[in-house]
Amino acid sequence: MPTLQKTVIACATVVLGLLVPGFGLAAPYTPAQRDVVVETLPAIDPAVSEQVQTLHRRLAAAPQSVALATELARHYIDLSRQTDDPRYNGYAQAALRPWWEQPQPPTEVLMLRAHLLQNRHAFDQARSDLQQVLERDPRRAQAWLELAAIERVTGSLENAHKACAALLTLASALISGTCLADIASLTGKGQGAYATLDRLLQTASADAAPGLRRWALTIQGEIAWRLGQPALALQALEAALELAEEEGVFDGYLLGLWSDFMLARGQARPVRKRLAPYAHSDALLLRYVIASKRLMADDAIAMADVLRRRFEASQRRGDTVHQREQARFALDVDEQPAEALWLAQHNWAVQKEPADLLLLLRAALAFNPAAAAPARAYLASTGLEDVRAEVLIERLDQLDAAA
Amino acid sequence: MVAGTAQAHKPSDSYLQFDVAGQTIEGRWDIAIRDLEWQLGLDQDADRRVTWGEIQDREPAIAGYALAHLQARMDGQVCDLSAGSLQIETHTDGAYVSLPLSGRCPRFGTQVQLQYDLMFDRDAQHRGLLRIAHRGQVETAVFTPTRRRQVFDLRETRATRVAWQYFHEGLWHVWIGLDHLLFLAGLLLPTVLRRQPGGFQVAESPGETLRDVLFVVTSFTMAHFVALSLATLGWLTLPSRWVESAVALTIVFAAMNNLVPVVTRRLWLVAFGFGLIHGAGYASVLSDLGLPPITLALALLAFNAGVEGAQIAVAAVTLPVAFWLRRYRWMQWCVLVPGALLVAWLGVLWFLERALNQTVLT
Repeated sequence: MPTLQKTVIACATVVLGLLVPGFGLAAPYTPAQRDVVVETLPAIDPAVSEQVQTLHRRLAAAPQSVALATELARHYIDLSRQTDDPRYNGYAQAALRPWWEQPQPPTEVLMLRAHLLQNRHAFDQARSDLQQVLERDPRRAQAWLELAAIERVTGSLENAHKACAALLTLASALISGTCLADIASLTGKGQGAYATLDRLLQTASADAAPGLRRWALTIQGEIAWRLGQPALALQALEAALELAEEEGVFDGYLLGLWSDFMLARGQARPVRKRLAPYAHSDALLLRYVIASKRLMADDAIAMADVLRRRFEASQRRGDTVHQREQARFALDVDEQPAEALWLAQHNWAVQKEPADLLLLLRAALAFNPAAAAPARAYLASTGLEDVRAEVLIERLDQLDAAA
Repeated sequence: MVAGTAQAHKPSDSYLQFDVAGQTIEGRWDIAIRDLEWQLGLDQDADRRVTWGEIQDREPAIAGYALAHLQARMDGQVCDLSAGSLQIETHTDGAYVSLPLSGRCPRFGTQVQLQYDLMFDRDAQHRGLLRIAHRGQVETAVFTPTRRRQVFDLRETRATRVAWQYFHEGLWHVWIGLDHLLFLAGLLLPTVLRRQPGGFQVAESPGETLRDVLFVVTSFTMAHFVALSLATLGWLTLPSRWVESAVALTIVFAAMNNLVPVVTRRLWLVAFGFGLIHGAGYASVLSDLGLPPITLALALLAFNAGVEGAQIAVAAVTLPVAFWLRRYRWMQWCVLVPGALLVAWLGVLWFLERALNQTVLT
């Protein structure tokens, strides 16, 4: 997809082309000359930009048209996904304004609203929107898939499994199989899930969309890492990254996962190198800062400061979508275990992915071993196999044994 | 890394500051150039680079657009707002136009009403982040598409709300800090019972114990307050790893002191010294709040009241039991001695974990 490639390149250019004082207390200033460039606007593919403008004009003439509004919103959601810029999500929401507060809006609106709500971590509302869609149309594969993702993130693995199972007759084997394998791996069936993904990737090679393969490989890498197979994990993640590069797609989740894997193996240098162009993304800047701190790089302190200011800005808005990153920042960068535990506990109340579990265990180990109880209970009830968690539990047990 | 100057990708915000004094309003409004571009088309040559010249040329349009989306009233009477010379301000996600605002309201009142409508038609996740000051008090508020109008009482104080919130935080921080509780137990036990060469010394009267406990807890909390205040105000910054390690050592000391008494009199002095260390350990909790000095002082006081409250609660539950059982030999040999050893051992482990960055125990 050359359009995406262009967007990504343009995005990197924006990052590189900026001449803004980076940190310290900002104060209003008056530029010395008229030709000083004060801001570089994001580049959007002219064709997309044209389409968006046209849609805005047509929508202005017919503000009650669901078709036009959802088309416009979909364009913005795509832009947000490609550039990792949440502003476009706000534009998408504004396009849906006439229906946004309705309890039973049209199905297309429900789908988009669920996506936008999920993005803001309003998981309960997003779930109920998707359930409404599925009541109207139980054969809607995309809704099952997004529902599975929400149930997975919030730790309702049984519901996630049901949603994945519904895909068996509605979507390709690669989609339903990856969805199911992912959930199976979180409930103590990691080995089987890994083998299933291997088989799916082999049989589906010819016609499968690269995005789907990338997703399956990402899940496979995660599973292998949890099972204590770093060589296999690296292989899968590298293959996924290669696909992303071929497609010219920005995959923030994959980059973050790969970085965590490398950092866990003590490889900070490649992380710094690969993430350098993505400092606009808070989650990736976090990994960059951790790597820089470990290497005692020149910019470690300054970049940590940039990230701290971004967290502050998001806090002023009242957003809590960064709690996971903030907890990790407190733990690994600021080395403030009390604060890290507080954040990790609040994050755990919302999100229950393996990454959230590890964070809670690590913060508990650093500040109060008793606080690991909910994580232990979760491990026991789900049967999740995760060598990283096991190591932490062992250390907590040693503390307990001493007590 | 050039990304040291990278823009964050974050949702759209504008930053609005107001100072209300009598009938006059002074302030500043920072609006993202990216957001203004959509409405006003600042980038006239469409090269994606917005120059200072392009902004200056559109100054009246920018000010007009902004002021059309903000209204201030005092007791219902519209105040006349006007904009001064534009400047540029940098926030985490790029450059903003910074618009100085000043206004005069027709008559003095007790309420300010603000109506904010910027960007909402374009971006439903846009937020107007307001900071409004009057008579040294600062309030913050967030304008959203469903909360475009906010009212500020010029007489009302937010003090009770802040105090309650931080009192709560203080309670919570003692509660999640196991080390804090263990330390306290170690420090308070000798007021009831302590080992001495040849046996145990038990407290004689409940009144005496109560007095000792109050002394210890209060001096600990005062020192805690001092260190926490210094750290929060940024006058004292210690590496967290050192402080955490020192906290662990205080636990070891408090526990061992019950077995091999080093300090038997003036325990409150030790408590004071340790309070300083523990207070510094909580430094991160309250810093970077962006609260004005008066509110910050209140927050600090309330936080410490919470810490003290939680400690008193713990002491109130455990000490009467300990006092009641103090003469039993099993209490002395089966609870006090192993308990102290255990707490000391935990303290040692914590110290090693923290001082050596968690590498010992694997």
